[in-house]
Amino acid sequence: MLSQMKSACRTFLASAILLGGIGTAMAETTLRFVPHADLQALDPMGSTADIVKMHGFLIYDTLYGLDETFVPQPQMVKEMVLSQDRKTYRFTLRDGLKWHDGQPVKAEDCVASLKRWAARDAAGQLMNRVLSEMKVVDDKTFELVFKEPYGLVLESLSKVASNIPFMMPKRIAETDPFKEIEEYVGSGPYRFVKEAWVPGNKVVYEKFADYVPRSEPASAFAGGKIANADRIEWLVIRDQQTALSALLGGEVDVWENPSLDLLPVLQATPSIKTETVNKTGRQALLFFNHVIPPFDNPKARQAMFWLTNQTAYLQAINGNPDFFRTCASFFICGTPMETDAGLDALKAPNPEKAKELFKEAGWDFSRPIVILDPTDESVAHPATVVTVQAMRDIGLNVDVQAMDWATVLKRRNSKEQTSNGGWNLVHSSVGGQVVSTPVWSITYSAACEKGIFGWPCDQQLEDLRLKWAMAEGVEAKKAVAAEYSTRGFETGHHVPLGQWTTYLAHSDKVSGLLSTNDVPVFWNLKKAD
Amino acid sequence: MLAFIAKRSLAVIPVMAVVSIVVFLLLRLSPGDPALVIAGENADAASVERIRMALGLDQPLVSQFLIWIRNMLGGDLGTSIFSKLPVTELIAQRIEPTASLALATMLFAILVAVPLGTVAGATAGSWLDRTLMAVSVIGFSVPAFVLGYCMIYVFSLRLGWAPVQGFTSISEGILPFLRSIALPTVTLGLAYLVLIARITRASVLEMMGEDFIRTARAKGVSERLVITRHALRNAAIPILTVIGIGVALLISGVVVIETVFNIPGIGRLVVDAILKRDYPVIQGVILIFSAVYVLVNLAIDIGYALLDPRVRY
Repeated sequence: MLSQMKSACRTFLASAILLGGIGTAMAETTLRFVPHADLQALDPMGSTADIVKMHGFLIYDTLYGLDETFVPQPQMVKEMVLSQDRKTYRFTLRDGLKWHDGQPVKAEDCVASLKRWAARDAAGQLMNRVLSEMKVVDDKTFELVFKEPYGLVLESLSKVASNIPFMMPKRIAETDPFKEIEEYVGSGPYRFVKEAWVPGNKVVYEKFADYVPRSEPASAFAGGKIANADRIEWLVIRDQQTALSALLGGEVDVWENPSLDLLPVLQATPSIKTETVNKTGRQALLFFNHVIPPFDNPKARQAMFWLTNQTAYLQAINGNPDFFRTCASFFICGTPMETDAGLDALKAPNPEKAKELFKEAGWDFSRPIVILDPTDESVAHPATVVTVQAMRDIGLNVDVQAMDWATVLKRRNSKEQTSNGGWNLVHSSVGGQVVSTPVWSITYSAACEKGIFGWPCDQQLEDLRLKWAMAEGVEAKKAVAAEYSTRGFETGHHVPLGQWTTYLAHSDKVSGLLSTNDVPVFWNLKKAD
Repeated sequence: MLAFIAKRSLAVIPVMAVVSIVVFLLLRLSPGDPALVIAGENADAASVERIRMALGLDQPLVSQFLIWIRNMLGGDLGTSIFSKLPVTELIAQRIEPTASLALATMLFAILVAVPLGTVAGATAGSWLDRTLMAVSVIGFSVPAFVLGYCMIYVFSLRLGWAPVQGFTSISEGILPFLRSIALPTVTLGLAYLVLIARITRASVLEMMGEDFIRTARAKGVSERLVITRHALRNAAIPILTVIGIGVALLISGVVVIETVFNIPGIGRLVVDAILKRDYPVIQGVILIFSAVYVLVNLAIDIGYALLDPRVRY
């Protein structure tokens, strides 16, 4: 009897341990992440904001992905065959790809997605100019047929600068490109849980069980996207001090872009690690209004290059030399197109020369130059302060107009004279991938009315952008980038003010953060118990 | 009394109408464009214009206003330009944290402040009175966000008694709910508490010198009853007034406290909406806030009449 009882107890204990083990094995892993901003839109074609891009990479997949060395690698594509005449690209999709609603991914979905993307994106529009047709061959195969060989096909399909060609089901991709989609079904490693979304506070993603990762190791946006966490929660915490306390208190696991002021505190905490995911970083820029004086004159615009002390800007914007670097290049340093052609002024600032150029431009120093100052923007505001001081130092009269960022976005579209709500100078910043080539965004456009605010207007620069797109091979592209750079200074397109990186802080329980040279990604991330 | 209540209630309608017009015009006439915010930094002008058309922002101001008023009267406050969720749903998502915080703060402040102020008033000049008033000066002077950070450091990070941030719904259990609002309540409530305490003290002190108090004492009524039944009741009107005024203080304070403690409430909703120029959300929330403020003041007015039968407007 006693032995029977002992045996029963042993069985019960063993079962309990086993069940406990199973319970542990089945416990859901939730990764809590504090993003740099709130998710303000859900349609990755509807916004170029980084936060929307991060959302996009969680729930959508791409045909190609850019690896850590900036090389496009197949992602949803199993095989690509380029025709002998180099005009036809035939893509075959991988086996087992499914949408989050359980339907198989088909070639027609990809063609519809590419059409919607090409209607919105600068690189897509460029591609459309030489594209003859997009053709569905069968359920898994489609073709892009070009009028002439085009060297940017895979680069465009893998581009990381928004807008990104994310794939969506045909019924969703057929939405007017300028209207927001209303269904958020992708084929990426995570699915968006709309019911749990509290705008301004929380965004929830759940692992997509049917996602089939590639077999190659993950490398930035390429390779096997293995979703280790079952659930990802973005907690939007506006206040830096609160986010710090939440991380220290173990309430969140990863915090994107903490202030550099907090770095010593974070580094002094043994349970917290810091990492730089985007080693390319961001670039600050000074934009001119090219249509009204004084910056309708290229000499005045060139003067601002000579007045630019990048170190002063970077000290004001970032303040930590370990995280910033001067970069006399329109195309962000550390990427293949980096070139200092024509940009000697940025390497050796000369305020006296700047003053002379303003005089040569015929500018009356007593007239005010209007500069828009977004006091709520952490890059443009300190950059404005530096510009204003440099201009005042050479005797210019500067009218600093303080406002919030949303107002700057509105005001900078005004072509009026400064006396009537117009402007002369405004600062901004962009992600490194956006400024890694002359064509990925409208930042480098010189298409007058159709181009970027400030309306730079130079046919030669526009031709060089197209020439860069058509050039084959990195060396040929580099040569065109150098031509663009030289002409960019001659025309005083805009002034690059240097670049910097930010960092992520995370609990030491988290590992596997990938270096992407852009936004953080969530595959490969692991959280230990 | 019913006629008085009806008259005061009807006065709410023109107030809310004026608020609606002012809110709508202020937003539309202020600079900023949600289409630009949605489109992002790298969008071209054509894309921005298409987004503006899709949002209906290219329509004349009068048409936009009439559509908004018509929908609002039908209970539809519109749809967020950014999240595409109905404003009513966004407000519903956030009403619980804000209402919980506001109610808890008022309860905390009134339940602590009125007894403290009464004791201080009744014992004016004593060490207790002086201590309470000195503490109240400190309480009134410390900015809420500084106090919030200190509370987080001590009670969350050091003692682990409360979470650093976030809100737990009451549906997930009373204890987690109370833990999540304890620190924000005390932080937000302190300034409110000292305001009410000081007014209570002053009012009670004033009443203690009145003839009816002397009469009550002469009749042999105990000091406790003199204070609570005679002095405090007659001192109630200024206390009620300051509680009403405090609601406005509470509404502005909620925005700060919700940010410090990362509480997903209406205060943060409206601040985010203002920064993005999410017109429907701003309009909806300000209307709700205004309605709450107007209704609280209506209740206070009615309260005056109930407490003092001589009060008629």
